[in-house]
Formats: sequence, C-alpha cells, structure tokens
Amino acid sequence: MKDTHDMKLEEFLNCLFPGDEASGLPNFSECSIKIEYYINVNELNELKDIVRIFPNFHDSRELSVDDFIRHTPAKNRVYWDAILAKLIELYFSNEKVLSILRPDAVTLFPNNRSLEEIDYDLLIPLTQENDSK
Amino acid sequence: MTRFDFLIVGSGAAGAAAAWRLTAKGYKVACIERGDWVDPSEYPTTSVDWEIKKKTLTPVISERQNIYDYPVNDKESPIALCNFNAVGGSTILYSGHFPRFQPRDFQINTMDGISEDWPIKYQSLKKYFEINEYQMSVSGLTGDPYYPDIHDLLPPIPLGKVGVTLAKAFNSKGWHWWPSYAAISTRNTRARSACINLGPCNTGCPQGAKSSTDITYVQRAISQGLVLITKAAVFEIIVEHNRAVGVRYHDEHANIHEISARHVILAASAIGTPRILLNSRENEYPHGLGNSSGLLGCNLMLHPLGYVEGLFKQEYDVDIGPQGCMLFSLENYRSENSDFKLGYMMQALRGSAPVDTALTLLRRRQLRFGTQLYNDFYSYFRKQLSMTIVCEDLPEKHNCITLNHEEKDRFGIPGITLRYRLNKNTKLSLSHGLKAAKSLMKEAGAITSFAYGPVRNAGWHVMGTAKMGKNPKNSVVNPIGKLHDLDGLYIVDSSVFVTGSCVNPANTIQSVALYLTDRIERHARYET
Repeated sequence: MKDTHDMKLEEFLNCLFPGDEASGLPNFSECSIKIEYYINVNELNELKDIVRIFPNFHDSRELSVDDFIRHTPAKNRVYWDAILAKLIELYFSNEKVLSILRPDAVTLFPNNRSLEEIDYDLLIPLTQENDSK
Repeated sequence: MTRFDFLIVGSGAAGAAAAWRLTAKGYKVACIERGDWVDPSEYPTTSVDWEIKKKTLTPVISERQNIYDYPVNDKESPIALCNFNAVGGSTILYSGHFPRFQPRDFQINTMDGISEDWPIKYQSLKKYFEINEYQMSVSGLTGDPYYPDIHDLLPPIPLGKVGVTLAKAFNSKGWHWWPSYAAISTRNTRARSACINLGPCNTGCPQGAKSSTDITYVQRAISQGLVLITKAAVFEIIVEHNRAVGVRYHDEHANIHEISARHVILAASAIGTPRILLNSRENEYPHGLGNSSGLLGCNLMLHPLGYVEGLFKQEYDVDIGPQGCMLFSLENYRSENSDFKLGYMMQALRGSAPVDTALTLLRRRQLRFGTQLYNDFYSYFRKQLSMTIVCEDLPEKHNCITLNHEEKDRFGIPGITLRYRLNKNTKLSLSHGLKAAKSLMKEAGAITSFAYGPVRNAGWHVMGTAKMGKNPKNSVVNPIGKLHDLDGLYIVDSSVFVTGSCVNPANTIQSVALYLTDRIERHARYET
C-alpha cells in the first residue's frame, strides 16, 4: 500500500503531466515510471519537499516553471530545474508516450522510415545559373 | 619483440585511413587506440529511451570523462571540445556531413590575401578525395556548381518535406544550396546496409549505414594484417639519437608498455597529438618534441558555429532521416562585399525528438505544466526547422592547447587546457550568418525564429595545432607530415592543417591523411 507521501507525489506528478485527451497521451501514473530508479536520493527527497510546500497544487494546474520557482524556497531551487528536466526525460521517452508521438517507430532501430525522394526540378535554378556562367 | 614498420597512434578518421593504406601495401603495421571497440548493438537508438541513453555518449569531452578520456579544461573558451575515444574515434559520433575543402581553401594567401597557403594544392589531393569517398561510401549528387569535379557518389539522402521547404526558400532567395555529401550508405553496398532514416546519427549508427572508421577502414586494415591494440593510452614518444623509435603506453591496468617501429605516425586528433608531443620531454626537447618553433599546440581552429531555428505552423518530417545531412549552402563561402573576410557554410539540420523538444522549451522558459504542457509541446514538436552556420576561423597563435598539470588522467598524465577566443572577423562572419539564416527561415514561412552563437557544445572541427609548412621556424611538420625537429616521426591528422575552410573537415582530414601516408611511405622507402 502506498504511503501518504507517495500518494501525494503521484498526484503531484499527475498534476504536472495530466495527460492529453485529444491526442491520447497518458498521465504520469499511466506511464508506470518508477522514478526512484532514475533520480537519486537527494533529488527524490527534494521532490518530496517540493510536494510538501505545494499543498494546494490541485488548484495549480497551469503553473509555469517560473511560477514553481517563484513559489519554491531558495534552498530547494538548486535541484528544481534538474528534477524537472529528469521528469520530462522520463515522460517523453516512455513507451506509452512514444507510441502516440511516433507510432511508426517506438524504438528507432531497426525500423525503416521513409522520406520523400528528391524532386530534382528544385535544382534547375542552380544548374541553369551554372550553365550560364 | 615485434618491430613494426609503422606504428600509428589513433584509429579515428586519419589513423584508420593511414592504417588501411599501409597494410594494403604489405607493411607490418600496428595501430594503438586509447579507447575500446563500441558495440553497435548497444548504441542508444536500439532502445526506446534512447534520448536518455544518449547522454552517456555525449561528444563533449569535459562533460563525458569516461575512463578512456583525458581531462580537458575548456573554461577559457566559449566553445567546448567534442571528440570520442574509441576504435573509430570521433567518427562514431559525427554526423557524416562530408564535403571537400574547396581548391581555394588551400591557397587563401594567394586568393584572399590573408593567412598562408598550404604547401599542398587541391589538385594533389583530388585522387585521394576520390579514394576516400569510395572507401567511406559517400552519397550525394553530382553537378554542384561548387564541386564540379565530384563524381561516383551513391544516391543522395532524401530531403524530405523539411528539405523541400528550405530548398524552395533558397531558390526564392537565389542562393546556392545542394543536397549534402554524406558518409552514409544510401544503398546496400560493400557488405553494409543502407540507411533506414533512424535520425540521430550522432549517437552512433546501429544500422551500420554511417561510415564510421571502425566499420570501414579499420575492418579492412585488420583483414590486411593490421595489429590493433585497444585500451592503450600512449603518453610519450621514445626517442633515440634524434629519431623516434616507438611509443610508451599505459594498458587498462596502468601497466606501462613499449612498442617499437621504424616509423611512428601520430593520428590522435589535433588535441591528442600535441598532447603526446608536449608530454614527451627529453633533455634535448624541454618544451616537448617537435616544438622548436614554439607553435606546437597553437593556431587552433574550431569552426565557431551559429544556430538558427525557425518555428512553423505545420508539422514536418523533421525527426526522420540523418540529422545533419540534408542540404547545405556555400552562398557565403566568400563574402566579397561584406565587412569581413572569408565566410561560412549554412548546413540544414533536421529537428528534435520529443525529449529534446520539451527540454529546449524548458530551458527557454516556454513550457508550462499541467494541461498547458501539451499545447506548449505540440506547438513546437515537429515544427522546428534548424540551420547551423559554420564559420571559417583563422589560425591564431593565442588560440591554443597546453598541458594541464593540475588535472591528470587516471594514469597521472597531464590533461589539457584549451584557450580560445573568436576574433572580430569571425564574430562579424557569424553575425552575418545568423541574420542570413533568419531571413531564410522567414522566406520559408517561419512564424518566428531564434538564433544564437557561438554554440558552446560544438567544438567538433579541431584543426591546426601542429601546422604543416616548409619553414621550420613557422611550422611543426614539413609538407610530408614529418616533424622538422626529428626523424621517424610524422603527423597525419588535422593538427597539420594550415587553414580550416568553413566546411566540415572529415573528408579532407582523411584525404590529407591518405596523401601524407603515401608520401611518408615513399620517404620511408628512400630512407632504407
């Protein structure tokens, strides 16, 4: 059973990454990301601290990074950008997220992706200019 | 103990080419590489979370510092050094953009009235460019007005919708552009598979389509008898009677070994090569081997880079296809009517993957969280087209590397300190390039654009720290790459470059290495 802190953390992460109904992107919980595997103990403690100082984050669904920083005590700010960057990395490299963003190749290799061949007519102005020299 | 005919230090762009050339001629050759083999099946793009894994392969040596690296202090430079220590060297992580230097680049004193001419002319190198382009399976398109003598290429890398958009903008401006020359196989050829448009070539190519030297020259040289010694960090040259006779290196367990050869060829990059020479202090050479001119480590050129990004309303196929190889422009290769000399190349890049897109927005404080996160993200994702400005910088003595006795590698050998600054001419050139690329983005339909430079983590094109020349007072090596100061010791990497053009140097580095290797081999035959 999850303890209160974990519950709060999960809610907090879902508040940051609530999912997008229009595109089908999942919220943070639905990604099943074990953040403790990816961020170090200091950062995790810092994150829990930040959760504690945002008791009303349910009402803060559209906070910008600057808003967060403005509301974050100076002692917590050192880690904040780094933590946000890691959360973004974890979310946007998650398989469920990528299967929406890049359905043709969730894993890049060895999936072939095609591009339009060159329209050689585009080069006519250059070759004509060269011929006229 | 085996005594080799040739001992080559470094298996990157230059060293691998030299090893292949000499083993093809039947010589007994050893190549010493401070890094290890990299297993392509472990490249980041084989995993879903490749954008996280790629951080372990950052090209910025001062950030990476893995066990094969030496310390680089680049705090006194606006540009950080990029390289990679492994079999294949920096070609493991390069983008493979592969133009040649122009004929004029070898004669800038004669043609442009500044700096110095090389003691080699383009015509002497032409044959070697052709050899190299075949060995490196170069793709591209013939007919470029700037490169009328390039033939026999694999088909070009497709432009995609993003390339077509930019090409049309170039045409509207009446500016030169051309599909990129790329060291990337676009067809199955020579036991290598064709490119499948994974995208991030600069995290290593698991497909094996990008021509890094571990899968081209090194493999072929080994099949011809090359002895490759990996995880071997050369720290000094052994000199007897004013002649190089071998090198000393640390193995991975810090044991010291010596290996001897009739001729020693350095190809450890324009950073690694002077580091070894500066560290090889003998009584006769208190300032480092080959440094009687006082120029060893000086005249560093780095190609300061500008970055311009346009934001568009519609989505493009920006995340499909080789990231750095699409199209380029030499419209401002020379800028006769401007307030600066020489010029720059514009090189189109494909766009960012999801993590990079979101992190860029975070850094620019343009990303909100909560429900707005997705609006912000989708307003950028696949809607950014970008362009780099690669500026020619001139050799200047104060731009240099020196030994750093405060920061040492794990064997106790000094690292290096980099000192570099942009001069006024380069700043003007960069500024001109940023404005030009912004106007191009506008022409292409960008709703807004963003430009900055010099880009810090872009010191890939490292050149000039052991200049080639006829005058021993003004150069480190002679026109065949032999050190003026002693016999049996040669340099074939980009340290010897006299000037640096404004185009990616990899093709020229390898072609110069092949040219010099032939001259060295002829000289060696003459010596015996």
